[in-house]
Amino acid sequence: MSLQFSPTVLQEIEALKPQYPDLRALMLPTLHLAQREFGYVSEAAEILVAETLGVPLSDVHEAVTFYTLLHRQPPGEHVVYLCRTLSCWMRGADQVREQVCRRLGVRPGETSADGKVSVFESECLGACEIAPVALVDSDFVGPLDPGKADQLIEKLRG
Amino acid sequence: MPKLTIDGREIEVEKGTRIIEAARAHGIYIPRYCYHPGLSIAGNCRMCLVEVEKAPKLMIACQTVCSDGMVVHTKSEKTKTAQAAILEFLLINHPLDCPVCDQAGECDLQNFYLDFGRYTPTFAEPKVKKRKAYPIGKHVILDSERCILCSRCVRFCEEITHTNELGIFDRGDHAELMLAPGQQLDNNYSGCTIDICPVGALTDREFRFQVRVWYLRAFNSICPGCSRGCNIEVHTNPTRPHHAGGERLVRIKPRFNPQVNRWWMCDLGRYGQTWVDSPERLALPLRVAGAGQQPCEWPAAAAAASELLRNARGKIGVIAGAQLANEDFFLAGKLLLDHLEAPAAAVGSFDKNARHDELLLEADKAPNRTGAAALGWDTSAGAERELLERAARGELKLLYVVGRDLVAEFGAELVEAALAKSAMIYQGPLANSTSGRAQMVLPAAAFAERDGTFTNSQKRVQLFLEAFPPFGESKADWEIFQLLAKALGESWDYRSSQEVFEELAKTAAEFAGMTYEIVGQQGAALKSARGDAALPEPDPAALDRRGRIPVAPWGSR
Amino acid sequence: MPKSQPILTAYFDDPESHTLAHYRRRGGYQALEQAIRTLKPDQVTETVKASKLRGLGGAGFSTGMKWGFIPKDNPKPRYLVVNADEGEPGTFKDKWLMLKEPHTLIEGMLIASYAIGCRRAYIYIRGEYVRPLERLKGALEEATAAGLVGAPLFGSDHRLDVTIHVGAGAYICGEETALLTSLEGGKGFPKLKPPFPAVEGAFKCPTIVNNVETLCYVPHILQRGAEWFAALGGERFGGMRLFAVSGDVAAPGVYELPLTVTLRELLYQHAGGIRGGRGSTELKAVIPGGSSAPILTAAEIDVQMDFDSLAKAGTMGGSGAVIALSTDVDIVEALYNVTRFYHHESCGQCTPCREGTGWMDKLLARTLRGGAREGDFDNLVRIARNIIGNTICPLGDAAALPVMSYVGKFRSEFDAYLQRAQGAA
Repeated sequence: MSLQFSPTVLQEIEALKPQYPDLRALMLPTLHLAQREFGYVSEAAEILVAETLGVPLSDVHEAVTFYTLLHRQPPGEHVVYLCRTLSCWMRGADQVREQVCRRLGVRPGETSADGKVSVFESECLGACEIAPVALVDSDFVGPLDPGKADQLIEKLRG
Repeated sequence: MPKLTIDGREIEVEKGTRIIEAARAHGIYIPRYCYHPGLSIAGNCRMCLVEVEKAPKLMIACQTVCSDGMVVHTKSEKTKTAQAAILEFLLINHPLDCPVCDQAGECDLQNFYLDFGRYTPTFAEPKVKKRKAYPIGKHVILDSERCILCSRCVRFCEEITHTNELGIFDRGDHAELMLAPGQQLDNNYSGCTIDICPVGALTDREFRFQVRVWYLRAFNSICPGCSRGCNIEVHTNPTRPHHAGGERLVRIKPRFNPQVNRWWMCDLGRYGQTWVDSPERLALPLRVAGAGQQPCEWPAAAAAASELLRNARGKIGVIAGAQLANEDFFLAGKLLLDHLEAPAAAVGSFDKNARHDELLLEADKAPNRTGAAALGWDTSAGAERELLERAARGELKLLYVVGRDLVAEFGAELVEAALAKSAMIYQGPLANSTSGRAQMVLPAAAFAERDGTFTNSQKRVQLFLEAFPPFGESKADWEIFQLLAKALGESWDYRSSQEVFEELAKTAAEFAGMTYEIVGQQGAALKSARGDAALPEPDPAALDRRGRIPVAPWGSR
Repeated sequence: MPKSQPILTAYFDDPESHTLAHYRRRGGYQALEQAIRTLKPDQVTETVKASKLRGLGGAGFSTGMKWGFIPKDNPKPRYLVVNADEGEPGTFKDKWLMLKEPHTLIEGMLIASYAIGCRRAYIYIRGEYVRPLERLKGALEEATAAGLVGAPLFGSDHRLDVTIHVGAGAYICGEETALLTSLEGGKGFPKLKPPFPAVEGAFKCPTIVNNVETLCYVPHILQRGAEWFAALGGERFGGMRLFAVSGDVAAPGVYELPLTVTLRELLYQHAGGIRGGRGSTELKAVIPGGSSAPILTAAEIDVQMDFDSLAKAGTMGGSGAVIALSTDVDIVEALYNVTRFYHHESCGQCTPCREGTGWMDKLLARTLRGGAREGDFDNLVRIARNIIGNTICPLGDAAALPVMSYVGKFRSEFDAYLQRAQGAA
């Protein structure tokens, strides 16, 4: 039974079509919709996107493997990106990362055993004014330290 | 027409010419990986960086268009420094596979390192690891560690075959060439990706570990797989017969012809000529004597066959395959139709629904039907069946069958009905169900074992040369016809297929004025296709029968 | 120096600054109306040129001149693309502009589109900027409802439709041609230049790519005049810019200042001075324009923060991101961090960057593990030099120039690693 987009998503795709000169330009918007709809971009989702846009599967797979925000495995309930680039690193990002990973019992790139939190390392998130910073779902949280990281993890665990 | 200076020489080129092509046209080779004249410009390898005066930095020759007054230095210190730098970058993660890599000897990493590298390596870190020995299709095996990510193969599958099986996934130095999920490299032209891969990333599964390329010699030839007549090279191994299991036809590569096949050829042609070395090859003439077919020598075979022919004068039916060369058809006509007054001769038509595509592959699986027709043979549909039915009605005494498995094509019933009333001489390279029923079997040489010409569906006469001697005692078809003619008292004295062709050209209007040198390496069009245009200039290099050392990547140098 | 009046950040403290109502109350969209009613498109371009506004995303190219590159005789549709991909490490000012002044951006886009004759604009925003995206969407909805976006303007036949296109995590997509490739549906591979985007850009059509901040200054320039903006600057640059200051400073944040400010003033008078991770108050080094900019020592901070002065000092204005390194920071570790960034973000298309960034990363990692060997750092500089100028896009240079400057100016810290490694051997 192959994957299908819901009518809502199909409507959103239809609304996008007149905004671009060709269907291929809908690649990123459609991949974002797929990730929103299915939680992540599986191989089946890639095939669905390729069929929907009339583009080769290799094009879709190239996009999915190129960009870091597209998940190829189901992520946890919450997704945390920990910045590791210069300003955050200078302000203690390494210690925050160690604390987060220790608390969750994961390495970067993994999801906690209870499925609540996925942790990823990220490069500069554009929030250096509150370094060291994390992107937690939709929000920038910082400046973090090991103590605040603990609180954050507890909050996410519920 | 922009005038520019390249390495101190002033040259003039067509507007829009890129530096890399301008250089090549004037004998200057600029090293490159990603550039291929048959594909779009990628500009990613950076190997072709050259110094251009007044430009703020080095420019890639593959994409930079020549402009008036431009001054290019392809051998300056800056250019050489960049070339060595690019090679160094390419080699830091490249596995040291040369001892086990088929590309050795025709690898542009090896070649360019010797010409443009020669630096002392300093990389002392762990190399990036990727997938190795990974089959990606019936014919192609991938080693993605060796891949330099030039994207030629990806562009080929996008722009030429429109099949898009390949992509470069991930990013940075972990980027990897791979199949799209769930797909195989199974288009009709998968072998071409091996041709264009400058390194040992995409290699041939059949050729894998068979023989080192420096033992090979390349001979110009024409693919006999269909009526397109793709220009090819036959590669053979003349000095190491114990390699590759004794196979003489080691591999086939396409040869560039802008009019016919450009740089490409299909897999069916490329991989479909193993019959040349098959166990079914006929080595000796056979004649029925008592219990079944017995081998015999040529003089005895010629005597026996000519006896059959003499006795059947005026009542011979000829069925010939359109894989025969122009020279073969010409002499067959002289012998059988003229001298022996055969009342019926057929080459027949082809199945228009046979597998073909929009690129090169044609439905007509014979290379010379156009040549047969131009020499007066009957290529109408159903001509062979009619002839067999005439034989079955007793109207013919002898069937002369050349390279056609009639049992496979028309069924045993019709053939046996014909043979109930008529004897058969079978001439061809392979034993089959039809040859097994003949009174005389005459072993014919394969296309790779003799010289000759085919005329393709575009009416282009094209020359193929002998790559290795005929198998066993087999002979070129035209030679067999001459042998029989002599046995019948004719005073023919053609000493080569070239001489046959020159007489053919004097007799058949379509071929008027042609010689092998004029047909050359790129072919010549029949009169009806050429109109008032002149024949090409003679090219003596077309007759190089010594065999060159193969040069890769094919056609793009 | 005299206190300058903020232009773009004037209402940053106002929680309503992002709304249409607030924007209109302070004269928003009047400049647009004035331009459409009284100026020809060429005159708008000339105004921006005269203002000496230079691209604030990183390249510092004259904005008016760039708009003028659109070929007059090309019949294809033209596109305006807003580069809101803001990925240069240390940069966060476009984020704040989109959160606080989305209508300023929209008005700037409308004026720009009128000047270059385009009717479709794309805002390419990085995928991590979720809240800024929401603000932008909200402002776009308001502007559309008010007939400013997606409808003919002020009795003219000019109109602009705007589409927001969300990125998915790739620094390289901040490079204008990679952004266009990504917009077109591909992975973010930069394009060969020439052709330049103004001639052949998005979908092979003439395209202008402008940074968020650059466009935000446009309505103010049209409102208050090119001369006013030019006078704030110097001979070859006008106006102000938003400096994003971070790292070892006491008050990291956005500071909108004229480009005549010096780096010393910026760090000490505005960003609260130095505050290191272990309490140091002494400056060791500064990156003045995003991680791609060559580093300056503490002795070199009396330089003016305009593009030309910084170029003359051997570095660059770049994205205006200022990162301060106190004496608590190990320079070799800092270089490793930056080099690792470029290795991770290299798209992999061309040889020198793809292989070279990996090589430099691994060499520095080995150094930090105690494995440095004689010749390593000279080799590191040689590798960097072999990348510069040989790549398709500036990411290669961006990775290489820091390497050359860190090793060049702080060689003793690198040599110390070699000595420790040899001592341990």
